[in-house]
Amino acid sequence: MPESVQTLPPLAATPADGFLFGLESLMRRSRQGLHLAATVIECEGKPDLAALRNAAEVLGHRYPIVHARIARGGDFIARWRLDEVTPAAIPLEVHETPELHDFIETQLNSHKPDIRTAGANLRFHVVITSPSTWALVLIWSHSLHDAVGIDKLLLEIASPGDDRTPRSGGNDSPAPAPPMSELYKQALPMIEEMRTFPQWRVRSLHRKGVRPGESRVQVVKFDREATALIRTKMAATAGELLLLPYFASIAARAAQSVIAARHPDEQVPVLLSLPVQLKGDRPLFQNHLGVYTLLLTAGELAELKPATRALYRKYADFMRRKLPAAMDALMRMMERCPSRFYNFPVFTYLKGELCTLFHSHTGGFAPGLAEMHGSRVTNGYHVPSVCSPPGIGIFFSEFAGQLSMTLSWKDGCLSPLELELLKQTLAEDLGAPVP
Amino acid sequence: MENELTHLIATEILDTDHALTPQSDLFAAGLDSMGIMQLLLAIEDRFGVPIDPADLSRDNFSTAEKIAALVAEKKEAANR
Repeated sequence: MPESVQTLPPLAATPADGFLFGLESLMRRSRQGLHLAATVIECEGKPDLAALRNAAEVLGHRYPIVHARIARGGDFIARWRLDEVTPAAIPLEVHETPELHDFIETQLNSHKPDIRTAGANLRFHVVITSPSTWALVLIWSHSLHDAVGIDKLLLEIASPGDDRTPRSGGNDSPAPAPPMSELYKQALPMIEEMRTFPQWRVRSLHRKGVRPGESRVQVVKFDREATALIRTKMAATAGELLLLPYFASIAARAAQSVIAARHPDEQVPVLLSLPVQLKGDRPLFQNHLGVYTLLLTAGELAELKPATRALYRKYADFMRRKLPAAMDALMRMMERCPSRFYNFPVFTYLKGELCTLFHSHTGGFAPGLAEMHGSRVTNGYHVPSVCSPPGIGIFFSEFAGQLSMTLSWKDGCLSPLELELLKQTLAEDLGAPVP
Repeated sequence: MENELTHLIATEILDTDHALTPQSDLFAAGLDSMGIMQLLLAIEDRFGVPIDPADLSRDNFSTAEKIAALVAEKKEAANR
């Protein structure tokens, strides 16, 4: 047995990992594939394959977790089984195709990596898109990573060094959970909030009775000129600094426009789940997210400027009522529960809907990443896949003054006409064309 | 007020190991959109002053010193 087997104990999953593991459980049971995402680094020049293979080799040995499976132990808490891992290089494949986003779609639907089985659960793909451009595409599981961890990993891929000493790359000493009676008291405000959900009749683009198909993605890369236009409109509408409520409002209004067209006789509210990074130094692996659930009425979403203010007010209300701590306690209460228990509140309080859409604005993409082994990095963005419900996600990030937007949906949830309506609403709100 | 805001930002908003002064560049220190929202809430709770989105410029929020000046101006206007 390799030395790392003796030195690295299993690494506990965070409550956010547990929630995402539960989401993947829902996807597996409804045959929707796995909860995978892609991270794309677009570069100028030719890839230095020797340097990239060396980075894959070094990092694969440094972080055995990229080969570990996740499983529940005797105490029912999910852990990455580092104790049974044989360190090895991260798999790296080379492809030649100009159709980068078709390639990404194929990978997101491939069922690889699978975190429940031993073997690589992070994969590198070098995609040569033209004689003078290429892209590094990382395919990863949301139960292993989030955007902050990926940003850190990208910097290590660019400068891997030669230290192969195995380490977990996560928080090895999580605080033990308080007693269940204490957790319940802390979680109660969020449980009471959730009990108000049924009266809202929240809807998503999920179609009951229609089995969702494959993941589809479209990445819209705004150039610097278009990004500047979008920023100028934002400054005039909501100020220069409220990126998150502004772009979340735009995403919510776009999804709502499609749902309202589908249900013209209803005033459709939106339940927005905002993933929020928790404070503190973050490890490479494990998710450290809080989930803020904000309900917005059709009236509040009628115009963009008031929608941004309404979203900010709801966010402030969520904070003032100490609901983030209550949500954390609720997630902690469920860490020993079977994964499908995470979905009980969805089916009990939301009549089968998880939320209206997934959304994130991850801010500046991989700050400090300018080069990838001799090639200039020209753009970078994440391409998450989604499950149904809700059936759609709208994600934003920015690299060196260039905004990118990823539209992600499940086949069967969005017709071609509805996709056009979605893009038209986005273009009107952003103030820039959405092809 | 400058020092109180600096302490609040260093301990509750940014959680940074770097020593902040009232003149430190907050955006360089990691102040992001979520931090701005938390800061607006804290200002409203501690100083009783709501900040209008129209005042949310990078210049107004670049240092604790400038935020303190904005808050003082808002308090004065509210007391008139």
